[in-house]
Amino acid sequence: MTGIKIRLSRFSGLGTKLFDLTSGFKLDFKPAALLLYPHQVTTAVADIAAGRNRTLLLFRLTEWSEHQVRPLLAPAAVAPLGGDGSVVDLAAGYEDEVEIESLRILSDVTTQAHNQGLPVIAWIRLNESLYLDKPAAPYLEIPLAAAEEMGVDAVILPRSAVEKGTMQYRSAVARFIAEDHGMIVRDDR
Amino acid sequence: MNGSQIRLSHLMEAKDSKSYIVAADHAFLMGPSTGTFNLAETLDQVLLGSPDAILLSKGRAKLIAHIFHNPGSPALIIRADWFSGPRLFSPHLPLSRMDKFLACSAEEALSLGAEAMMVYCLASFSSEFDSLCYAQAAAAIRNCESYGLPLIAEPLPGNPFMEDEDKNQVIIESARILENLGAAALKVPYVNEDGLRRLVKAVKIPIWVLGGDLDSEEAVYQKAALQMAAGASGIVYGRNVIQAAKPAEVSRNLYNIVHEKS
Repeated sequence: MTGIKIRLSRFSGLGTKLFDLTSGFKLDFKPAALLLYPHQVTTAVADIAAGRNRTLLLFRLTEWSEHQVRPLLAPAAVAPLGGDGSVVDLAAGYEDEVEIESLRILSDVTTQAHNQGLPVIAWIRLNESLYLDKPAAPYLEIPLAAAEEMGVDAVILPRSAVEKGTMQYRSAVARFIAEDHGMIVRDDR
Repeated sequence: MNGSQIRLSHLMEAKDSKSYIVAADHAFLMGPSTGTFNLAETLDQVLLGSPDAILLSKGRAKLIAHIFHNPGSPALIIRADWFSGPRLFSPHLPLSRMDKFLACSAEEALSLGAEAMMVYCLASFSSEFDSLCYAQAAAAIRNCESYGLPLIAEPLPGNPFMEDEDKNQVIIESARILENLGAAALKVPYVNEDGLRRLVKAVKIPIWVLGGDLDSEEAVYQKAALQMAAGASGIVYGRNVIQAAKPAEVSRNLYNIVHEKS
């Protein structure tokens, strides 16, 4: 627990900015943390990840594409890469098989990552078509609560869902909002 | 006496070996609802009624660990499995497939300070799902045994629309199997008084009755008293406590009913 708390504290604070380097957008500022694939650990990345006020490295444990969550990296591989945490996708509102398998993966990797003292951030991939013309909150609350109850340390929520309706559920973990162009901003309000 | 028996005794009041347990694992399976929108606040009220134990998911147990920190605090029971059943009829994000997996190990539960772990066992839904449930229950029991942690099994009729007598029969048969597999106690649904009395005679391990759907306060008290009189070793009530208008009052009254205090 101590290792997780220490690493989590490194990107605490309202407005803290993370950058998703796997999004394909260009990084043009020094974020508090970088979300990346293992092959993206280049010399440039290693440079900004050095020192006391370094940028933290968060590794993707899953791949989210074509409405599927696929395992990508074992949690045990994060520490040897110099990682400070991990990000796992959680599908919600897609086919049963996709959603249930996604929960199963989240449960497994959360346990494994915590054994290494690494925090886990769940990126909630909510099907936007569900809330096109209605409040998103009742849909968003279900995977948000499930992720917290599975033991994750922080969540990333889609901006489009957060803006459509006020949630009754009071989240108890650090909350980030996925903005455009790879930007992810901490917003616990 | 082994570690599992010692830990099981922590879920009971020493004087009468009865248990008043509050279930607060609902958001894990069905999403948040009244009482779980801010669970820490709700449980602060519930604790005023001195429950013997609280049932939580591993993630929630970590987030509100402080409620277990003081001498005399309730014991922690970890819900160790996720299953899709509660989402089958959900108005938001419904699932149509029955599935279930173990989401917590005995090691994790122990490291969270748990005194016991709990798993579902959906019986008679389908032969494949029965096999899956019993296999998971057996695996969880073996895992818990090696750490001296009691495993509480929750046999539920897989088909909620079957006749009461059939439900009783399914619960009794499943309870016997789970006892033989090594479950330390059972959390069971209440069908009727006759069924509960037969179940209590059918197995030797403690029987705790779950509260089920939200009911009026008076009906809840009557039901709890009846269940205890029928031979239950305790109750595991959730929605009727955490969704009550006055959780502290309901919690205290249920404690008094279970432990026969005025």
